Amino acid sequence: MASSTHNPVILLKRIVSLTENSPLILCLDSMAQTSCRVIQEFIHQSKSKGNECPIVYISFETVNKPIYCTQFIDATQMDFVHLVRQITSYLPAATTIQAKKHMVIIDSLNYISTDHITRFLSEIASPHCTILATYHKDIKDGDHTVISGSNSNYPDKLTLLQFMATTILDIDVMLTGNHDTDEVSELLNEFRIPRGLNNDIFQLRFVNKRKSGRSLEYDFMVNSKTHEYELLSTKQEDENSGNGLETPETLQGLTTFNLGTSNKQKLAKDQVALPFLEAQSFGQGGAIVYEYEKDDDYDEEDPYEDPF
Amino acid sequence: MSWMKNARKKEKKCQVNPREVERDTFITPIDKTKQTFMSGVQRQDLVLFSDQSVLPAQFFQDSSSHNLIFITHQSSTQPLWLINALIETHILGFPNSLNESSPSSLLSPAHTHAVVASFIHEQKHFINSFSKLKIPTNNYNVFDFLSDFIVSDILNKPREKILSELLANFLVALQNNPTNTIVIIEQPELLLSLINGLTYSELNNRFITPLLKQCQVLIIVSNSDIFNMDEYDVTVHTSNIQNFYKSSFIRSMINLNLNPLKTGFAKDVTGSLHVCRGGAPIATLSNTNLHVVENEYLYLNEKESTKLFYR
Repeated sequence: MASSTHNPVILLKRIVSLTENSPLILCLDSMAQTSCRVIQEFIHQSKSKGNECPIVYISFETVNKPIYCTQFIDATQMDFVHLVRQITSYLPAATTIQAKKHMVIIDSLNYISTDHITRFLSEIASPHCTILATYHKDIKDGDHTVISGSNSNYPDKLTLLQFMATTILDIDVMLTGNHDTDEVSELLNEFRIPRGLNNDIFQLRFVNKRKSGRSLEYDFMVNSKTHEYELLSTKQEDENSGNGLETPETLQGLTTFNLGTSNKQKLAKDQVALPFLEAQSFGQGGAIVYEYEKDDDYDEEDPYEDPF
Repeated sequence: MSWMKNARKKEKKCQVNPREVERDTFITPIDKTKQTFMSGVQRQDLVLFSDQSVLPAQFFQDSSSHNLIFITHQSSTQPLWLINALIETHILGFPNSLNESSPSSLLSPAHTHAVVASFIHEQKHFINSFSKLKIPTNNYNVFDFLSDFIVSDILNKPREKILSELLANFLVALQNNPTNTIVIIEQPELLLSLINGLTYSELNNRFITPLLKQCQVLIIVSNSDIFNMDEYDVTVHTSNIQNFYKSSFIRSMINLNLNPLKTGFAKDVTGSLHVCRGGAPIATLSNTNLHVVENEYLYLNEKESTKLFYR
């Protein structure tokens, strides 16, 4: 277990192959990169690790029944109660001590209203079931404002889902052409669709919540053709690089001197207590303290003598 | 004045084909008659899929596979020529009005059928257009959901009934023609404005998805002008309509995007056609490597035909 948390690629592979237990896996996708390749990745990895399990597919959007699913539920015309009843009929009861692991794929949670979402997921969830649910980020949650009896502080669907999920896979397009991220989002906002979206290679921000409450966050580049995952950088590293600190790469070619700093040197540098920091802890700020000495010739009537 | 020069330079940089526009600007009217549009550029055939086709035959091999094609356009780039090309491809086997090179063998029109429905155009609009293309009238149905639609189909009816009756029209047409049928539906998003309280999810669940399940290829044609409005003007209703576009894109396997030129008007270019992958994989019976050929064309609408050029 310890090794998996230290190696992000292994942790991701364990989650994707269903070896690591994660009851609710939330796939956040968008028009630019939909979740279908991620779902395929789950199917491929679980099959290759021998963790194949019965799959219940709940479809609001998918019309073509995927070949890998055991049960395909067309949820478009079903009301909430019937849908939950049908799903649970295919799953082992939560109280069962030993049962085969099941997987429930939901496509997508946008079609379930905000006031039903928590009940829906809690009724399906059980120790014998992994829920892999897609949510389209760029489809705005329209029913948030019309929940009966709720106040304006009630969180929206996405916030609720992110809170409940034990693993979040935030999928984004890996741009290869001339456009940068801002240009693509601007084009999509105008519904001018650029080329190169929904590619086999995509970015994945992987958030895994540990039992302790700590959450691990990593960025990956996933190749769904070769099934290879490449760690891009952790969030902490991003933050550090965002501070504009010098790195050996930026100094390369500028001089023959070694201007880079090692981690040990950086640590030592951080620990040096600088004199101005002590001055800042004074608290009052700006006060002039003047103590008279015995030789001082102070004339109270002369205004120019006032040292203050 | 330097800013004007800079602006002009910038404009020229952004221009799709600077040489062509420059030429148009400076030639006299007499010279213009001698010029042919996009004369120096080679005309291209429309190819959407990796098997060099517009509508692959594989789509129709399995009745249980359903594919959605999403066409988006703006008011200045009307999609009739593209609808014509798709209908021609499906019924005649080849987009005669668009492509120059003809295939060696054409499909028999007896096995193919198209159902066209529009919420924005009258029946005549399509019938006139199809008759010009010499498409046999037995091979298509046109539903007019514009004339008297609100009075006869919407007023004083519950949402579910309106959508189920609408769907029933298609089901009858599809059952009468059980052969390879494509359904083209123009601007169904108007229902979101016409039917009180209708949400994009309800429209999808009760109309679009059941319709897609009944045919092998469904083509939704939508006007994306609503995305050009200011962010601050976006209301709940606008966002409901935008959600419909986004969900349609996610469910489609190919998107054909018609846009006007960013620089405005050019005499030899009407607009651009972007061919992009949609959010869903292609559903075919056999596990082939069929994929969308992403491309960008410039097109020019002429009186009788349309010409395509690579960008």
